[in-house]
Amino acid sequence: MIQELDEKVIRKHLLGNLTEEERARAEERLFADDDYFELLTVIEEELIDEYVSGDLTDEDRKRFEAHFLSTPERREKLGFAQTLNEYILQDDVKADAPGPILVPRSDPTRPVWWKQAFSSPYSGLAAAAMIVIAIGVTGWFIISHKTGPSQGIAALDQAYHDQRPVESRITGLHYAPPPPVTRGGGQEKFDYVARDRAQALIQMEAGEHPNAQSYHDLGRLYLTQHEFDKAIEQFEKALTLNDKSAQLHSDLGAVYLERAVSNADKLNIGDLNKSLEHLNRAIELDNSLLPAYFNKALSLQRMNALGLAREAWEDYLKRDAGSEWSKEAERNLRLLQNQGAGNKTSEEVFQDFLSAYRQKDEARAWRIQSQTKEMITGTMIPFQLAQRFVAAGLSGQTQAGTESLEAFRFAGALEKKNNDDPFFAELAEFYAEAVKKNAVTLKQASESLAQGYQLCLQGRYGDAYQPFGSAKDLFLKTGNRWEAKVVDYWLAYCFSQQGELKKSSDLLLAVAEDCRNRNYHWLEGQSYCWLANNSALLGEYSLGIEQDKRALNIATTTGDLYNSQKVSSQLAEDYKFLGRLGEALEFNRSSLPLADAYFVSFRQFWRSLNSTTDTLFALRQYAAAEAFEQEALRLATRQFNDPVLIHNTYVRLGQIYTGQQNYPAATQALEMSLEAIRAIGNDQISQKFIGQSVFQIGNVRRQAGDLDAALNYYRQAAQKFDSTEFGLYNYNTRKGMLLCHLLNKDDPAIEQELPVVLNLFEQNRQKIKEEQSLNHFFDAEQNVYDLAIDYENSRKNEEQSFNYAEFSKARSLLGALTSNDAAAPGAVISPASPPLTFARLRERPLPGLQLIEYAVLQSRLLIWVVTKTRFEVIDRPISVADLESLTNQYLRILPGGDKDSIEQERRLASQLYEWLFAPVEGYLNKAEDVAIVPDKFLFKVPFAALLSQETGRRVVNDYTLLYAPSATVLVICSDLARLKTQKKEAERLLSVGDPLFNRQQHPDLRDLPSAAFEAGKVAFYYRTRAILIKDAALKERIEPELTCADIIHFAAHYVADDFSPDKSRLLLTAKTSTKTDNAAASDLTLLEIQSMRLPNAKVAILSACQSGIERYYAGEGLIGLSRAFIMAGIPLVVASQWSVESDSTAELMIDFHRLRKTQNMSTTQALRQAQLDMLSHEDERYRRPYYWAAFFPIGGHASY
Amino acid sequence: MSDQERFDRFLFWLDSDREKAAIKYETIHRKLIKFFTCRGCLEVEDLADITIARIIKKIHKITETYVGDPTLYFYGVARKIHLERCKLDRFTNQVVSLPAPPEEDNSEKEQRHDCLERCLNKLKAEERQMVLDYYKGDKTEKIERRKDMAEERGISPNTLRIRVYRLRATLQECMRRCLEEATG
Repeated sequence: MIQELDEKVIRKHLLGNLTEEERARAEERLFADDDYFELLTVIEEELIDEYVSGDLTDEDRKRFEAHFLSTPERREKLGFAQTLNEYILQDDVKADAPGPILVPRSDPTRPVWWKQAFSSPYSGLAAAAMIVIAIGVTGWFIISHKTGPSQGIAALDQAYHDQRPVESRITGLHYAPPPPVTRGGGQEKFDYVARDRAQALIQMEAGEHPNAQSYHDLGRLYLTQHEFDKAIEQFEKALTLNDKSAQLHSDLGAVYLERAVSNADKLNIGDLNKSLEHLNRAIELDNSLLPAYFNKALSLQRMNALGLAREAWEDYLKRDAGSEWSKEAERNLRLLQNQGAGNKTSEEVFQDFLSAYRQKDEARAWRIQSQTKEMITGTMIPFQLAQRFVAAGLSGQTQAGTESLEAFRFAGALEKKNNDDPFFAELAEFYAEAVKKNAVTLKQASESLAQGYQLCLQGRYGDAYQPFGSAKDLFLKTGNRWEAKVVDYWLAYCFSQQGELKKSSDLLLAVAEDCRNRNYHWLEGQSYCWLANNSALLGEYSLGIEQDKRALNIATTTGDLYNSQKVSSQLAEDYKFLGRLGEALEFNRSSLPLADAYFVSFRQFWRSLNSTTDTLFALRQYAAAEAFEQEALRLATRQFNDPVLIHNTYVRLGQIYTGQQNYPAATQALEMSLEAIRAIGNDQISQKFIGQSVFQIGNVRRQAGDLDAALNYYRQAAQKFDSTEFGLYNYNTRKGMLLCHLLNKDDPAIEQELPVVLNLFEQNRQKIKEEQSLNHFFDAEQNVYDLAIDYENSRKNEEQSFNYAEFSKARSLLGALTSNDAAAPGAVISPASPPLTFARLRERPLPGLQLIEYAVLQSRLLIWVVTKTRFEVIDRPISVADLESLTNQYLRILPGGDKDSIEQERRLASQLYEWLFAPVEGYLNKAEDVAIVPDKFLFKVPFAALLSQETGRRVVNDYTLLYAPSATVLVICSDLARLKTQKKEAERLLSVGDPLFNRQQHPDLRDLPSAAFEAGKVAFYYRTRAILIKDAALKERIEPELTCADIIHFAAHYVADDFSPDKSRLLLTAKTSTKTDNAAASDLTLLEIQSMRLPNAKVAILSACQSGIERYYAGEGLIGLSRAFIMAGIPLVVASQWSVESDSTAELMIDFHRLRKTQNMSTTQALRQAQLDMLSHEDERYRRPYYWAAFFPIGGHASY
Repeated sequence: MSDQERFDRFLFWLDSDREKAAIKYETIHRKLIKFFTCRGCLEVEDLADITIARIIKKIHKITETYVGDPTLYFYGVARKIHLERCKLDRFTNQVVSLPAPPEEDNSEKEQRHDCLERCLNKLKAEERQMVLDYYKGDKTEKIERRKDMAEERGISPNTLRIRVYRLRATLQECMRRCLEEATG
């Protein structure tokens, strides 16, 4: 079955744009499938036609000329196509415009026929004739040269006279009703003759007069055709020529808006951000440009910033009254007025529920009850019913009382039925009895509780203790243990807000424990939610995430929409803090109110908006962040009288303006935040809030360059935080001070501050238990160590600088190696000890080994060289951006096998050599092995392939290399390797190849026939061996073999899990009895591997794709299969840096084992020799680094 | 084994029905030409012949040991031959640039147009119209027209596409012969 995808592949194939592997697949298919072959020949002709008629993109045209036309056969086809094209044009002209016509001169190098329309007197006539046909008008000669942008746009306007092509407003086009379906799938309605005319005119103008206006017109044309990427490209081109055109910015804003909403399932906030940026700029340039105002309101509406969108439509209507556009604006405004969170009062919610109860409509009643579980505003149905029942009892309204009680029992029964939570059912029964004798007390208790809520809403948490305490006493007096438990939750909430985090958590844990025992799921979820909040504030991030996930699970399974949105916001915050912005944005999405939600509280909406703003801020999408935060501010100031919320909102706005470098606005917002919080008083909590504001003002002043003022603010903030438990704020403040000192070059101050900041950093690090989170935290904050490295280096304290580099690398791995029995007994590192300092490293020289360690800093590259006799540091002014760009370019070009790619590979390999290896080469002894400790993305560099332009030799020609995550890990692994040295003859091999993995789960993965061959063949060199190939490669057979094998060889597929690296896995043979949904149980996950203890294993050879690097973190370095095996106690691993071609890998691996076993070479030497053998392979292809340089040894220095 | 015996065995290997085998042979030959063309080789017909000749030479051994689709075997051999033979092509033809626009005089151009017209006239009237309509107009027009053409004929756009392609191939072959005749 031929599919659209095949067509794309065929096009790429014909244009020489496939990788080796893809091309092999396509060729195989070409031979095996006749339909495919025919399609290829058809597409071949179509490509030629597209070339002749100028329809190929620039890139495709270049490829067509360079690759496709490289054979005489195809050049002949081109000749035919040109003749056919000319003939048809002539035939057309003959039919439509009788008279002698000269055929235009054929010129394949200028394939766009209208571009050459006026290049010669003859061809001009012919092209003119063609355009006559294309535009279908008789008076062509009138417009000829005078055709300008206005005519093209006028034609476009005419084309969309009855219906506009997109919902947003395009400049130059008059009003037309919007398309019926804006997010794809709608039927377009337009005058195609006019549009073709517009297309001809606009394209010709752009070809003849390439300038800002013609690019702008072309962009508008593409926008009408929903070709958003092309439209953006043209607008951006126009912008480079004229960035002061308000209309251009307005249309760019429109196209980003359209692209943002083009995928109905996934709103693209990044595009909305750009849309707003351009629309704001358009308004700045021309404050009377109506399309910009219109589009801005639309953009805000699509962002769900409903209040701001309402204001924007109102603003638009002030400027445009009476036009058709304004009528549409009015319609949008009306729509928004009927939407939006919190559009129901507690009373309305109650009445809706009562109505549903009276009609016995359980589904509707449950929908209302489950979506309105907000206590603090008194919205929750069961509590409202309890109060009304008591009030009816006290006022003698028997009928009302009876209905309230029955409705209360109904609500309790719903909760029991849907969630198996008896809390409200029990509470209803309690009230049924208690109200007879305790109505007054219960009323008083309920009033005290409400008073506490009010105080909390005003941010007066200290004052709320008293009414909450009183409510608890009164509830207990009546025997109402249920609501007394609720009050406990609120007391804990106040403790937390007052900074008494431990006390708060103790109380919440007690509530949660009791709730769990009694199945009170709702209150248990509430408790875990706030416990998580406390944990994060205490820096217990992993615990916080665990508690949040528990709360989210409860909220989701019980349909508690309010709490699930609340917890999602919190989780988004946690992940953002750990630098995991992708995950944060996912939680943000689930935290935003659903369009069809029955009820969303203002407070919850505010929380969700803020959380989203935080993520956007971290992603530097400031325009969208500002819009969300302005929406939050609107809620905080108009709907709540909560100084804490107002304060928080202003602080965030201050941060956003700082990001936009709008320092006056930032300072003003932060001053407003201080003003808001001063209303509370002078308790501990207000100190924290004041500290936050002052800290942010410090940031503003620092970034504005006023360092003395910044330091002053930071000091004030530090004083506030020192007196509280808020460790994280303290760390950030001290880091701000350090940055000021560094900018001031104030050495004494730096020396004083640096240890303080690093100490706080380490304290925060130790509080993170979850490994993945730890790695992310390090990734986000490693720049603290970079600052320290840079500073010490600038002061020529090379050893101290090196020490900091060691402190910044592979700490999780080091922790794992030193906290379990993987490390060698008597090793230099004791359990959980810090990394080795340079001085201690010197005490432990590794014979026959030289060390190169890198530090990639913001604006420089440091390389330390440690040999038996020397310690050198090389300082090169190479920025992280340049180095990363070069590395990525190199990795991109590696697979290419064409002449250009091969040349480029050599050029880039030489450049990398110049930067990374040439500076150290003078210090190295070729007779000794070289251990490389890369930094950040340098883990992806195949050092062996780097090429000296001077000698024409690659590094592998002269050196035996070994990688290590850090010098300290190198020492530990080398110690371990020494213990595992034994006679090579006695080595036992476990060789696993081509497992029959679950095909249903991985339909895209191919069989690995050469892997089976490889696994069998390498075993030939070992006397004692276990070969588990194909159906024998079962997990249950592999696991016991792993524990007794000395050498482990895996030739199998490895599947990375981007979200959770520890779930990445080596695919093994799936047991036939294994169900599809549990098929992963057949595989070996990273987590399982790193939890193993493999006492015998000396070397693991991972002949799988990207077994070495799955991802890297700035601090932790590479994360992947190789690291998991090191954690399991294998001191040396051979792994790969990229997806490797199967046949060449088999050849390389077999050669490697042969050399290792028969030539008495060590693992690193054997690998090097196998790579050298590939370099002189008879098949020229295999000489390219792509085929051999992916493999690298990592771990410790071993003699075997 | 004589050459004829080898060839017979070869055809039998392709298909026990000799006629079907001949068709398969043709298809494989065209596929080989396409393979070498896509790989940027010169003298592609020769390379296709060499590939087939090499297989015929070893057909006895192949039929004894090889199990599977014969076409894939051709692919394997073609890859080897490509490696061996195209290296030289690459070195001698490293920079392939477009041929300069042919400096045709009007008589040459007219010759080409005449040939094309003659070949078009050899097609049935309906087929001729189909080709001309199919390629008429600019990109947008083409899309719309082709949709209409398929609808009018009650066939899918893809079927139309294939039909026109086959007519085009016929035309191209006809034109090649016509030009050869004209230039003697």
